Amino acid sequence: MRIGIVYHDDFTKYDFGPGHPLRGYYLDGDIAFSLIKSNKELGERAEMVFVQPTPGQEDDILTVHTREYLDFIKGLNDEGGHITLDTPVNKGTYDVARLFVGADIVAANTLMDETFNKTFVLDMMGHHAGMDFGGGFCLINDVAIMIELLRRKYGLKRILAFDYAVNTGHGTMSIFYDTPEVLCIDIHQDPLTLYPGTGFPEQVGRGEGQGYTVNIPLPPFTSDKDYLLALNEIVIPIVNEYQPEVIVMAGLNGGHFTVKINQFIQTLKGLWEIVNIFSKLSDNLCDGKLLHIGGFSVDSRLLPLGFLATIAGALDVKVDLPEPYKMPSNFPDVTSEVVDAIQRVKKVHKRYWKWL
Amino acid sequence: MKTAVIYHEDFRKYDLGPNHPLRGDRYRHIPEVFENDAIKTKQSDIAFIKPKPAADEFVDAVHGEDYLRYIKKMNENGGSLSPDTPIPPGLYDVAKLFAGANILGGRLIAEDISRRVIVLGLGAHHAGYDFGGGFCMINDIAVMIEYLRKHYNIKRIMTIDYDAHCGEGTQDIYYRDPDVLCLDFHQDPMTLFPGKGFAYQIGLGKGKGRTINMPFPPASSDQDYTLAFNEICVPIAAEFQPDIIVANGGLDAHFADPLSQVNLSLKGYFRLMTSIVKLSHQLSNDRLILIMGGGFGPGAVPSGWITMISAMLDIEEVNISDPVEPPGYSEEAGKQSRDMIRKVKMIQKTYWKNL
Repeated sequence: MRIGIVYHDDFTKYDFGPGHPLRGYYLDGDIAFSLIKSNKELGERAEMVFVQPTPGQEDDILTVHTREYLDFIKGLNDEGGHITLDTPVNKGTYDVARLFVGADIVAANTLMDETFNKTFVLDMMGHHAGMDFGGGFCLINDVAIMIELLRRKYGLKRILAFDYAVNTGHGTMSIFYDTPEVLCIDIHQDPLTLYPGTGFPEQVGRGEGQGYTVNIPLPPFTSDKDYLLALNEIVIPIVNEYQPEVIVMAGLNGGHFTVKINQFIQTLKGLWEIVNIFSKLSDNLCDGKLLHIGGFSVDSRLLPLGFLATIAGALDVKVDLPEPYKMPSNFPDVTSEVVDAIQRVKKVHKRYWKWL
Repeated sequence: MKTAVIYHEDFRKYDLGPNHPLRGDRYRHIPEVFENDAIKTKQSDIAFIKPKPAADEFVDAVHGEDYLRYIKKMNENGGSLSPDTPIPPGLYDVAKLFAGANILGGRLIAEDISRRVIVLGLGAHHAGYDFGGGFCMINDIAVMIEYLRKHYNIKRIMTIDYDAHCGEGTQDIYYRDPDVLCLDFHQDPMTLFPGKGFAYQIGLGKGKGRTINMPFPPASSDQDYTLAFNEICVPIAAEFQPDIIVANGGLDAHFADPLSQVNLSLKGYFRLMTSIVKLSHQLSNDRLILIMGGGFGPGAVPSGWITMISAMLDIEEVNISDPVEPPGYSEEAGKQSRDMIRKVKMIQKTYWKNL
């Protein structure tokens, strides 16, 4: 199996400066490479190729964002400023965002032309950016731009976008809200308790897109087993019914119990499991076409392990995933709330999905 | 032709609970409004009318079906639409009464029974197609607009929203619709809920240029609003040629309002409302409905209502003063406002010849 890993040294320049919660680390390509090589089975299972992206073009960006919004962003890129209170833009931030776009695009192209069986982009996704709004640390929605490319260039009609970051990817879903050609499934912490305050089960898409946005809000302290329950009860049946032509998944280790800016308590093993499930779905449904986005973490010790869990999960290789920190034992058990949350989603989506 | 005033005592039941800024008792001041001397002189021009709740089908025409099922269920058990919007049981019924009030107002105008209508209602402009929040559950303004478009020969609708908060729910519903023009004055969303309503947010698809966001910096005052009205609203409205004008009149841009930082005085409000009345006279055959929206401080209730209603009744000067001396004009905010107005015009002139 050939897998492509897309990485650029300049990803690290997507940085909002001291005092901002989004300060963190991007996985270095060399470290990623040595991590994979250090495991014999992984090394044997896959032939890995690093790909260096070039910045995305304005024409690509304009397939998603409006001219007016883009002009605004470019103005900020020259002079600095804010999109929203939580999203300062430093000089050059847009240039890095363009690099994210280019990275996602090369990952999509090399997946579609079968250079690789699966591709992994080590960037951060702009899933909070909509057609004409930014915020939540996002300027440009690179994932959506890449998905538009899959539709326009390759004529795909059924693209699964699974967002497993802990905050709702409301930008991405707003962009594809009225089309059935992109199924947005988003598991996130209850928006009553976390930014961006939207992503409720009743928000299902609009017009022809009705039913093709699946919001699955889970309570704080959702654990691996709770998450798996939601995957098994809701996500897997819907994905099987949808029969995607490609699976795009975006996340990484944001829901890990050590991450302080949300309240999920997942582990590295849980991350392995999630990626493994989607990789198998891609094998069964779409010739293994899986594109994974995520190479950022607020924790430098967690980051390489998260990447290892992702790759190993995707290649179905069991690896040692030692937790870098001890998990507290006093987290509450919220499984009964999770069951209720799942029922609420199923009740809504039964109208749209026979297999639920 | 009389000016209709629509009100129901059950409006008071729209109450989000103790310690919440939106309490039903804001409506207890309504009798005082009509005790005002100037308004009293116009008493014979006013017809008071009591509304009925909107039928479900008219609400259904605006919101997503899954969202509707959800809020109808919430009507029984209560719940929460967002951290700032707790929902007590029965609230949906009251929200429908507001929608019914707007529909009634719209009908009076459409059937030529009244030209100008005042609804002492809610103006739930934060409720979108399938979301609530910002104290709002169903978008009563959109319910009226859909009702009018379906039942009457009213095609082009212009809303002027001057609540201090951006009416992102109404915008969401009409974001791709070329026949509903949303002009929205509000405090810079960088500094205030809902964090949307920037100048570059102008609508999508066929609706491009039909959303006009005017984000004012905190401390903006009367003359900043006047300038924006004259430079942006007047030319765009003249080009759009609305069949009816809907004023979504929040009073929270008043300087004494605790939830926002725009510094309009009552005089400023009066001038703004008078300008809208004038615009409706020139463009929409006097067809104008004022839906009273937010406003939580002593500047709003009842003096703000008196101010707005006076303007609607063609009273030439409002005889009510602010509770304390207004902060007046700020050079800094004035400069930023002028920059904002220039920016809005620059962005919007692709879509409007008159600019």
